[in-house]
Amino acid sequence: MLLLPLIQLQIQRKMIKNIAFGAFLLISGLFFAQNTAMSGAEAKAFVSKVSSETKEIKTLQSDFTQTKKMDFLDKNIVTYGKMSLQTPNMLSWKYTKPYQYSIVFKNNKIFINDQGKKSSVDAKSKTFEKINKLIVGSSNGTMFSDPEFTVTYFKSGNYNIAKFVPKTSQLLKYIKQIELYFPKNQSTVSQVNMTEASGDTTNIVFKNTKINASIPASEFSL
Amino acid sequence: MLRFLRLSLVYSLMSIGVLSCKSYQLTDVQPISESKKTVENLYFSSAEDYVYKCQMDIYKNHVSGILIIKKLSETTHRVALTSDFGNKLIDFEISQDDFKLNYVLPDLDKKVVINFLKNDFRELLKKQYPINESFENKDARIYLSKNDHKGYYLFFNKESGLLKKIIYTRNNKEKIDFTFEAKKHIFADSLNLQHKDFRINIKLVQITETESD
Repeated sequence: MLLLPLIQLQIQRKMIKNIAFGAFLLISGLFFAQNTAMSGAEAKAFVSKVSSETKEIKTLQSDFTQTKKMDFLDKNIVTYGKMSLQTPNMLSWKYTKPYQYSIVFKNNKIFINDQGKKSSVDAKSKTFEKINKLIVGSSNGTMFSDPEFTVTYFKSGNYNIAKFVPKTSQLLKYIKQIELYFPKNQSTVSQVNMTEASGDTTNIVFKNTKINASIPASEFSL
Repeated sequence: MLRFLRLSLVYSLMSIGVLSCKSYQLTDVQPISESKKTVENLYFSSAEDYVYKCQMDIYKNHVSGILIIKKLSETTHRVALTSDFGNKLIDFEISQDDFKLNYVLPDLDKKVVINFLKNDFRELLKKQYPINESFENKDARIYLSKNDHKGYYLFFNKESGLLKKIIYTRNNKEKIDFTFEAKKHIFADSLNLQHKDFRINIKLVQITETESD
């Protein structure tokens, strides 16, 4: 009775994440500076550059570090993993430390391996269509025109930042905003900051990103 | 034929009745005299963050996530469950008398879900157990703590002195088994919560890899 909503919400989360898969490359250290809004022309140039460059992306692989912050905790919760994306619609998201948990989206199915416990879910739902659209959209740069979000653009010393705010109250119940950090002169995301409706944040930093390297099929089977 | 069917129905109902009416009883134990008046479950008594990988099986459904338990005061704990992707599913403050829901994901906002979590965590986080009877077997000292219609059998390993198991009964019927793996009395490396009358199981394994400052 609980599974579906949970799966759906994981999907929702996933899908939100997938927005980030606009292609990302490169890492750079964290850098926080005053963010200033881009001018209309700057934003337009940024979007068109990212969109055209990410169209060339067929595969993406990256290591990630996910940091969860909650106000009542002394320490953040940090998990590590690896993601692989193959256009048009295969995605693998694997946590490797401190525990093993994998989720793979493939052929309209979701496969899960939770520390050896395997399950799969058919995903012929509207949600899955949305995910597919987002995976495709994020890997060809059309995410900036996603009708579910209002997007605004900022710049700091080292980054161009796209800030996504959900338009619908339904999505706002899950997420307040998502920020994508693009290192300057890169059309790829190196960091994602998500703020939940409750105010908690999840931050994902991508490292060792490879673009268009071949990915073994085994990466998408669990 | 009809009569046979009716009879077998009666027999099966009877056996179901007998099965579900069976009271919980300790077997192969000796009563002992005990000077202690209370025993404690200290596994959530430290003010440090307790962070666990959580696997729940609720009937045929498998749910995965991260569970955080934080002691706020002598009486109250904060409990939060997030999905593996970090988003919060539920967040509440709980004591033996109070319950305050801080957040619940709209999809999970069902009375039955919240009540089941409330009841389970209230039992899990209960710290003080006045002793009514004491027993022992080969490996464990066992203390029975009774309170109205509730009963708790607490099993402490004789060698290590660590709490290994709590059997929670209501009206003498076994309701939930809590089993703990631990090296320290204030920290369980893993624990398993098994409902006896519903197919609900919660497994927690501690996550050591948290960010170090």
